[in-house]
Amino acid sequence: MFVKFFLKVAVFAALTLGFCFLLEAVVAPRIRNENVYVAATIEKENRLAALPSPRLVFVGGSNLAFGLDSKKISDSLHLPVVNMGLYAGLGVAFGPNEVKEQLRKGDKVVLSVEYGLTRKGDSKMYAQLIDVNPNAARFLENSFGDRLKLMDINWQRCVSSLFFAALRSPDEAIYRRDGFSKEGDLVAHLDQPDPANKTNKGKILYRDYSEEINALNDFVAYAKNKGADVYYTYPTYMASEYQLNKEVIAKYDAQFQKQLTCPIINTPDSFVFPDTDYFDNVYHLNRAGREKRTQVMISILRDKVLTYK
Amino acid sequence: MLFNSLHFVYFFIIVTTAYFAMPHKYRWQWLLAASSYFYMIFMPIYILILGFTIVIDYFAGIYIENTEGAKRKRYLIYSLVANIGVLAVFKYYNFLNDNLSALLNSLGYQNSIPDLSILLPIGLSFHTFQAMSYTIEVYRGNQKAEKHFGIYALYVMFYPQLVAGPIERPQNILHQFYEKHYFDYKRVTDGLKLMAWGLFKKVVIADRLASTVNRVYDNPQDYEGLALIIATVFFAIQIYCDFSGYSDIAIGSARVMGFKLMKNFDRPYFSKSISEFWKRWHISLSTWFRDYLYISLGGNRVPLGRLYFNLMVTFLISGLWHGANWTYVIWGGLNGLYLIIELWLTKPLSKAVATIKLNQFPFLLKLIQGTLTFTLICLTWVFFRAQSVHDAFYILTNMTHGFQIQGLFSKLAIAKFDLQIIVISLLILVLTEWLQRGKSLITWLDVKPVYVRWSVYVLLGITILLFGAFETNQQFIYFQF
Repeated sequence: MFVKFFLKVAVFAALTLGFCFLLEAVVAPRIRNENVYVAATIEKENRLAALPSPRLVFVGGSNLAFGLDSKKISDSLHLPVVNMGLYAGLGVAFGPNEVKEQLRKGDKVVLSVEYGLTRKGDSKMYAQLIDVNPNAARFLENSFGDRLKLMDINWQRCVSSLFFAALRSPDEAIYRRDGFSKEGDLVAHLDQPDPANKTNKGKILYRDYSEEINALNDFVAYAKNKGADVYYTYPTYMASEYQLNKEVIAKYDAQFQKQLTCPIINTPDSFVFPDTDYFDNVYHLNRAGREKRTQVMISILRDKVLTYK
Repeated sequence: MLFNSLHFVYFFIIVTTAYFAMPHKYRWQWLLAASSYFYMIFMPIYILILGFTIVIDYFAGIYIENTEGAKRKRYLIYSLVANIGVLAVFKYYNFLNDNLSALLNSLGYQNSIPDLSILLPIGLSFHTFQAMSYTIEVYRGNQKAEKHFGIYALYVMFYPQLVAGPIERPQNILHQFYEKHYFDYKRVTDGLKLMAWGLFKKVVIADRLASTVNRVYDNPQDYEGLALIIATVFFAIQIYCDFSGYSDIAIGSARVMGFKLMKNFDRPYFSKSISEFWKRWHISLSTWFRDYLYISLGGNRVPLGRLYFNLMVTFLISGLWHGANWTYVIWGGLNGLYLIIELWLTKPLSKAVATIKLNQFPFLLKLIQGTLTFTLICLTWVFFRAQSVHDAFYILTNMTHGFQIQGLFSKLAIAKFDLQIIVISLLILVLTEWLQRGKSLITWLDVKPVYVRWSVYVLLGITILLFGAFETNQQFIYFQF
């Protein structure tokens, strides 16, 4: 009876999982779009590996991707720059993990994390990332359960594309791999009109941020061992929304000041600009905002990083 | 531990395999240890509360059995006070204190009694009611007091039904802990099939609908008309699939090990009246209130005015059982009111139906009755789901205007893929419920050819994997009660 039972369970599992793996094998290559936004990690990782040290490396979410002119920073500070900033949804730990192996003596790393971001991020985005950049799987903090979930999300992506009979997802206008400059800045949005509605508006929830700060502190310690310096900057934030969230941001600031083991080189309001300087999101600067932030960033870096002992 | 988590998969495989592998005399200990672990995953310290009520009720049961007259009644009262006391402290204290503050403020006084800053122990109302059921049945002489402390503790803590029922009666479950259960292929696979069906309802339907429901009910003022109606209907389906899905997994996992738990849902949305709905919805709780409260108040063998009072009290308390919030009290009151109105209208409506000869079209009549019942129940769910009474009234008063379809789904953040899954899975649900008229799905499947059965099993497995909303990590709604 046991044998019959386990045999049937095995047949059931083989048929069910077999179908899903087959679906993935057949559909996944056909729907893969090599030009999706997260595929930009490939160029960023390549540039980081190829560029000689000492370098200035920006690590964080899309506030960096949208809001810096790395070429200008590089020209002003006479340091090669890699902007690794991409997407907050990949989690706090992803960026530091991504640059760890490539860190060298003399590198200056500037971290900038969006408010309230979780350590592990959004597993749906992981699936898309691993699909186009399998190497990046190493940088994700996934448990066995997360990996199973990721596998399932991948199957769901395949079946979802079958439903729409659109085998390859179309290129986005802004969020695309070829929308980045060679330094790693997103430039696709610079000549586009600002969308009327901005996302990510509303109240930021405060929660204990120790787990995320610990991830950053681990990185700081690792970098120190390799002879690299790490600094933290608060991200840019739309002025009206900053006013709305001032108290919560102050709480996050207090926790960062208390627990973070690297120097914090700006204040939460350093990169707060008028609403008209933002593109589609409270963190995403448009051309004018990017210019302002770059100038402020250059002066902060000049004062606090290049002279820092 | 959530039934829809990977953690539960490991737990279930280990507990069940070891259960069958070990000698019968050790099984109760194993199940008790497993159940304690299951409960302690949520909040370890709260096992002490459970332990407290178990000890009280265990001894109360023995004393009730061994005494007569007033003493016997006193022991029952001790037990009920202890159980209701725990509920009062952990679930209702802050609610009562907040209302006292509001009352005193309106009279110009300040309430200096502080609120308690404690979390509600998970499933408290469920295991408390199951424990009370035991002492009441011993008091009534329907159940012998359990002398084995471990077996009694297992009666309260049996993991499949510990945190969200079904709320069992001692007559049904206690003796089963003494029975030796063998590995029976048919029973084990039937249990697994039921678990798979419950998981389908939970992760494919309930959890996918949850994001839309949460979005609208968290900020109802951003929506009107059709969006509010869709969110409310979605919630009606979500709560059914969530809770009946949980019950199916609970009943199925118990059945795998050889235990038979009571049925908790019987296709409630096919009901043709509110009274029928309450015979089919959360049966273990409805019958609990019927047996221990409604009948104790005199039931329906009383003058009409008293009958209405009994119904209203029963449903108001049932509302309060669900949560310490006026929204739940109104939800219960509304259901009580429906039943009173149904009592008034049954005869005149039957006459009206006969006069217009609608009874000659039974399908149409059933359809009208079913639709009306579902609509009325949906209106009560507004109170059940809303964050506040104010929100509930906003939703109800704004449902009647704003029926613009353009941009509706993007406002509700329902992607095309989600919408397709929702439509297809609801069709599967309705078809399956319809097939279950008179017999269970498993019985229906048992007589089909092997290729039909296996196609259904594999399709169900694939559907769960490909369409389950696993990334949302939704808790079961009834865990909060």
